[in-house]
Formats: sequence, structure tokens, C-alpha cells
Amino acid sequence: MIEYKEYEYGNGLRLVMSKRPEIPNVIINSSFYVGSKDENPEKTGISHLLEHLMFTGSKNVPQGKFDEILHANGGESNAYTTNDITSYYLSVPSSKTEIGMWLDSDRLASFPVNEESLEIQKKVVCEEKQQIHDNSPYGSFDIESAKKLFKKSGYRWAIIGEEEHIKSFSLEDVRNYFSRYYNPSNMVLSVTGDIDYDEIVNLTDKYYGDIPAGEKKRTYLYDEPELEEYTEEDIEDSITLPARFMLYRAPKIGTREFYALKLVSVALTSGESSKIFRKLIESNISAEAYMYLNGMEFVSIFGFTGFINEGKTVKDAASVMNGILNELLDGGLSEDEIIKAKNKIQTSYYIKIQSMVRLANSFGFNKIFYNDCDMINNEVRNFDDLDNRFIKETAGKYLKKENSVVLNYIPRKRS
Amino acid sequence: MIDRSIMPLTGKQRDIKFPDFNEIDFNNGLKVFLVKDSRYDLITTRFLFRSGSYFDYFSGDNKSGLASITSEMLNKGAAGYSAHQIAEILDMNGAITGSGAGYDASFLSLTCLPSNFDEVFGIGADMILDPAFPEAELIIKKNRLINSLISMQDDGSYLAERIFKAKVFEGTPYAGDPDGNIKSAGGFEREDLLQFKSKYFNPSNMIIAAVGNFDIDYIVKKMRDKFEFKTGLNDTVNFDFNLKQEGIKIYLKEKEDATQASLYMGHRGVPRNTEDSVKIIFLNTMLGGSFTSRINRNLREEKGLTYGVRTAFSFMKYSGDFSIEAEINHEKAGQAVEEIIGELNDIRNNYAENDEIQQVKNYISGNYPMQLESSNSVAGKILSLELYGVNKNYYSNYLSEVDSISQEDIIGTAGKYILPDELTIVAAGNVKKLKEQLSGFGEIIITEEVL
Repeated sequence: MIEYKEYEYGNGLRLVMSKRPEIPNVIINSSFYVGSKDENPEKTGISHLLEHLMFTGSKNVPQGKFDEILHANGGESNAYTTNDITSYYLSVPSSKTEIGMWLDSDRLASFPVNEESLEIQKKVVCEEKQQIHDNSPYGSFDIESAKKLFKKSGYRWAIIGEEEHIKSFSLEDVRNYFSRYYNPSNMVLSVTGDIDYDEIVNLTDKYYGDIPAGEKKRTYLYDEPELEEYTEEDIEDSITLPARFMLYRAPKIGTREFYALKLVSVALTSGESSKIFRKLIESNISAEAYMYLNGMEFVSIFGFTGFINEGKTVKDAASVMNGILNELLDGGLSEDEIIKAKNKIQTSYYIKIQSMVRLANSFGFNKIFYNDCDMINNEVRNFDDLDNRFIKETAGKYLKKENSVVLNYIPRKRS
Repeated sequence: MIDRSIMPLTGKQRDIKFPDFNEIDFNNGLKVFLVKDSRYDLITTRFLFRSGSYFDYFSGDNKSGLASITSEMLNKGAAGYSAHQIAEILDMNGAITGSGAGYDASFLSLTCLPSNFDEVFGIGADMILDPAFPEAELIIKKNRLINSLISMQDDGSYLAERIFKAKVFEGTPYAGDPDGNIKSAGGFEREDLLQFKSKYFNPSNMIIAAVGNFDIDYIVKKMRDKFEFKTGLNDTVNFDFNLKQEGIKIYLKEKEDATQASLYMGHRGVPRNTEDSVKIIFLNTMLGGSFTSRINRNLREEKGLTYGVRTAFSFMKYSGDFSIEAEINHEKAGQAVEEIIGELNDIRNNYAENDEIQQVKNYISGNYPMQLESSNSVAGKILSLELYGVNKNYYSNYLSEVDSISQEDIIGTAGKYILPDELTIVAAGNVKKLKEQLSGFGEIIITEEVL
């Protein structure tokens, strides 16, 4: 049982704390309820660009000195952006908790970006896009899948954004985005580690308490229409071996149906007794194959990926992958598959909660999307009452052809 | 309103002690380390064999990857159980397993709930003591490995790293990829695995580390019952590593359609057991081992030339290397290499400011406790000390040694271990563009080989 305490401030800031005294370090996580889907379609990538810019300095932290000060005080930092959330963490020795809060809050108290850092980080992000997407085998997958799977909502572009948009951002664009979303009423601060609860409550008040509440993010209007028809497309890439990516729109996070499909993905993928291992890998169709569920706020993505071996074709892989899905749709999972998946989920959970960084991250996520910090203690229980009847019913509802997009990555003909 | 212009004053960092652990010597040479941790309902057992891909070299012609495939085949049938039966037992118990090999060791790891420990440990012991390596399973494993290796050829950073290691360690047991190569993978026979197993994967050549919520007497008894018996001693094969290189060499590998160049450069290094290891780690942290290190600050934060650049000293048991890795725009490759060489020379030739040294000390000591957060990471550190023959007090003395590092230590360590005149520079990408960018730095060799 993970213990925690919560506190809410006058400016809307929500604080979650969990004490873990064994290691003399503290994690300070700031999670903002904004991600790439909230962007203007003509200005994609700004959430992720702003994530880079939040480390470049602020009013009282000289440009380029944020990480330098943090490191000089024994700290470390990182951040990530998703379609729905932008999350930052600082790790500091517990004796330096106040410096961590000073650094983190100063970049919120006033707009922290200047022209020079903006221009440099635009270049860095373009290099990142090259490295992760453009110059990496199958690297365009995130971009292509978002485009094909969604037509109207902000899920239709990739988190990194369009290169032309990234290059065109002005300081004003970034300032407007920052002002709208980076404020106490639109964030959760979670602090884990070697802490004293009262001290954290007071320090949070001292450093974040006087930042104006700002606008709370309006409810996002998710109005993506149902997929009209099945789409299958071949994409040429600089690769030697083809791959088949099957994608389905799936239920949003936190729902019983979401957990049912999560269980399906674990049951059919995890371990060498799994159906995917037996039918795709052992039969020499794929060197790597797996199912996954990418959870998002309004809709999730259920994926089934098979990298295809030399001498095998997309058709060979499609036939086996469809066979695995059809068995699921016809009969659901076996009793053993369900037990195995639940056991794996439990083992993985104990591994996850050993990390203070992951714990702080989970608190931020759970508070933002469920307003329920106890989710951390119920993660495994969410799977307890799932039976095969419900699993089969859910699979039938979502994993159907007309709710899917298939991308076949094909080697580009070489000169 | 608080005055944010003043950085808060803070106290001294609380001391951290390396966690207690039990060390037990079995009478057959097997070492056991136990880290009891009742906070989480899990037990992880790691079986480490003191033989990795180094011994591939001594196992016959082109046996690169043999240690790895042997360890990965341990679960493919043992003690009368088929591969499928073993998978069923492990998966029913919710066990998370891993196996593989690095340069100096091979391993099998098993993580499960304490209530499932007996069954998981039992099947793990069978896998180690009596593996079957069935032909049919070996064919499947080889196919999978070959296809993974084919796919890796599309990745510029993999190609650059492989070429770098092959050149720096040319003709030595560390030249090959621990995972093997396409040619070697196709050639493995069941007999190769049986021989490697019987020679190296036996209890006398093993270290076990168990971490988690267990009764110490109980778990030691389980281990003694299974593994405390005499086995043949292993050959230690010495190799004379003479990796000195005359002048800078540049290897370019064509990668069609590349929109960025994958750069991997560096030179020979030193073994893990070197007495200067803490000084080297410190030097690397300052030079390129952290986000605020000199090279990353220069190339990423000041010039926007790359998403990130990192330097590393890879320590192996009998040798090592120093490397710098980045993905760079083709048109900026020359500038990037020039900046990197400039930083290497600067740290060799100029004393670092005391402020910078203090910052790095604080960075290392402040972050060090995070490495002890999970008992698994603690066990990893203990295993590594034993494997590489490093003094067991290494971590107890680590922070005081970091704290004592001086300007002279840094310039002395850089002078000894950073060797700009011996650089091997590898770039995978558009060779025509790279040739233009890099021709001023040294002899250029276009490499065609697929490794």
C-alpha cells in the first residue's frame, strides 16, 4: 500500500506527496494538462518545443543555466510530452529540495523564453525529428499512423509536429501557448522521496502559492467521427525487411474496456508461451512481434505489430496475424492466458513502484486524468474482475476491421 | 511575495551508506550475494557466468555470438522439460525472465513473487544444469537472430558503432558484437552450444545475486542443494591487447537515403579494474557524460548541431574504449568533429576551473544515491565488482574519492586517457557529403563490409 497526502492551494495548484525516506533524494514532478492534441493544427509541435524551452533559463535563472545550477546542486532532470500531457521532473538531494522548487517555480512565475534560446531549440528539435523519425528505420510510423487513424481531432498529428511549423514559431506563439496552459490551475505538482509532508506543503506555498491561477484548461471537445472504412496502405521506407502495423481505435484510459484490451495485449504478447511468440516468432514469420495499448485521454490505440523475416511476405504475416485476432474474436482468451496475464501485470507493477520517478509521474497522471491518487494502489485490482465473457465482448467491439488501419512498411527499391 | 532573485540556501546532503549485503562462498568457488529487501513482494535472482563474448574468440573460427545464443537457449528445453513446458511454467508464475551475454559475462535472470519462487528457481536451476539445446529450437533461434541482425543494418548508429568497435579492437576478442553477426549466426551447431555450456556455464564459474523479500537461510539452502558441487575449473585465456594506433583514421560507410550522419568516434581505453577508474568517470562526466557536460553544452545547447552527444568510457575486463556518439546533419559533420576535437584538446591542455570541478563533484555525489534506489541496481553493482575483480570497498570509498579530485588529477587523467592523435572516426551516411566534410581530419577509408 503506497501512502500519500494531497493538498490544494488557493490558485488551484494540486499537490500530491509520498514519503519514501530510504534514499536521501527527492523527485519534484510538474505535470501540465496539455499535450500535442491541444495544438492549433497550423502550429503543431509547440507543446514539445516548449518542453525543451522550459530548461533554458528563466527570469532569475540566467539563460543556459537551469541545468547547470541543478547539476551543481546534485540534481538531474528530464521531461516528456504526449498527446495529452507534458510532464517534467527534477531529482535533487533532499537537502536541496528548496532549490529544486525555486528552479521549477521560477520558470512558471514568468515567461522563461528568449529569442536566442528559441532559435537554438528549434534547431535541436529539428535534429531530434531527423534522428527519431526521418532517419530511423520505420521512424515515420508515428506520423503516418496518426494521420491515417484520425481525421479531425488533435490526435491526427504526431507529437514532434511538422518541421515547417517548428521552424516558423515566434516568441509570441510560444508566449501565448505558455500563458494559456502553464499555470497552477492546470497542473499537478507531485513530490516523492525523502520528504517531510509539512515542509513540502510550506515550500510549495512559498514558491508556487503566489503564481496567479491562470486559466484552467477548457474541456477538450473530442469530436472525431467513427472511421468510415478500413484502410490499408503500403509505405516505402529505407529498410531491408518489411513490417505490418495493425492499428485499432480503442477505448479511452481508465475504462473497464481499456483494462480488458490491456489484458489482451499482455496475454497474447508476454512470455514465450504466448500465442504471438508461438505463431509468429517460432514459426519464422517474425523476429519481433507484439501487441500494445497506447492509452490516451479520449481514445486509445491498440496496435499489433509484426516485423517480417527475410523470405516471408506481408501476406504471410497478415494471414497469421489475422488468425490470432480471429481466434480472439471467436473465443476470447483461455483461462490460462488470463491467469498468466494477471500474474505478469502484478510482477510488473512491483517493479514499477520501486522507482520514485515513476511513482511521482503516476501521481501526476492519475490526479490529472482521474482526480484519484489511489489509482496507484488499484492498478492491479483493475484487472481482477475481468472475465472472458467481457474480454471477448470488448475485443469484438473494437478489434474489428472497419475500426482499423493497416500500414505495411515495404523496402524502398534501391539504386 | 517571495524574492525569487535570491537562490535559496540549503544544508548539507545527508550521507548515504552502500546497503548491507551478505556474501557467501560455496566450496566449489561459486559466489553468492544476497540483498534482503522486504519493501516489495518480489524476488529477483541473477545467475552470472564469468564468461561472455570474449570467449567466443577462443571457441573456433567465427563463433561471434556463441555466449549469447548459448545463454538465450537455456530455456529451450532442460531436464526433460520441453521449451514449451518451461515457457508455460515461467509464464503461469508471472515470472519475468532475461538472458544474454556481454563482453565479459553471460546471464540468466528471473523475477517473480515470493510465493512463486520455489517453482521458478527450480526450473531456472534445471535450465542452467541440464539444458537440452534441441536442434529444432536452435534453428528457430538462429533464424530470429539473423533477421534481427539484418534489420540492424538499416540503423546508421548501429553500423557506426559496430565499425568503430571492429576497428579499435581489430584482431582481438572484443572486436565482435556480443550478439554475433549474420555469418556467424548461421553457422552455430548444437555441439558448439553444448561445448560452450560445459566449459563455462557451470557452478564454479558462476556468481548468484538474489534480491528481495526472502528468508536468507532458506534461499541459501536452496542454492546449496542445487549448485554446491565440484565442477571443472575454467580455462582463463590471456590475450595481449596492444591497441595503439598511429594517427587519425576515418571510416565512412554508405547508408542510402540517410538524412543525418551517424557519428561514432574515439579510441582505445582501459580495463574496468584500473586504479584510475573514479578519476576517469569524473573526467568523462565533465567532458561529455552528462547533459551539462562540455561537449553536449557546446554542440547542442550553444550551437544546436545535434539532439544530443554523449561520451563514454566502456570498461571491459581486459581492455576498454573511449567513445563519442552523435547524430549530425551531414552539412555540419565537419564542424561537429572539429568542435569535439577542440574539446578533447582543451581538457588535456588547460586546467579546469575549480568552480566547474566542484559542480561536477556535486552532480556525481547528489545523483549517486539514485543508483541505490532499487535493490536490483545494488545487486548489479555488487556483481560487477566481483566479476571485474574490483575492491569490495569501491562504493564505500566512491564519494570520498570523488571529493578528493583536483585540477591536477583532471589534467593528468585527460593527458593519459584522452588520445586525440589516435582517434578512429566512423560516420555512416552519405559518403560523398561526409568525404567533403571530414577529409581534413585524416586518412579516409570507405568501408563496404557488413558486420
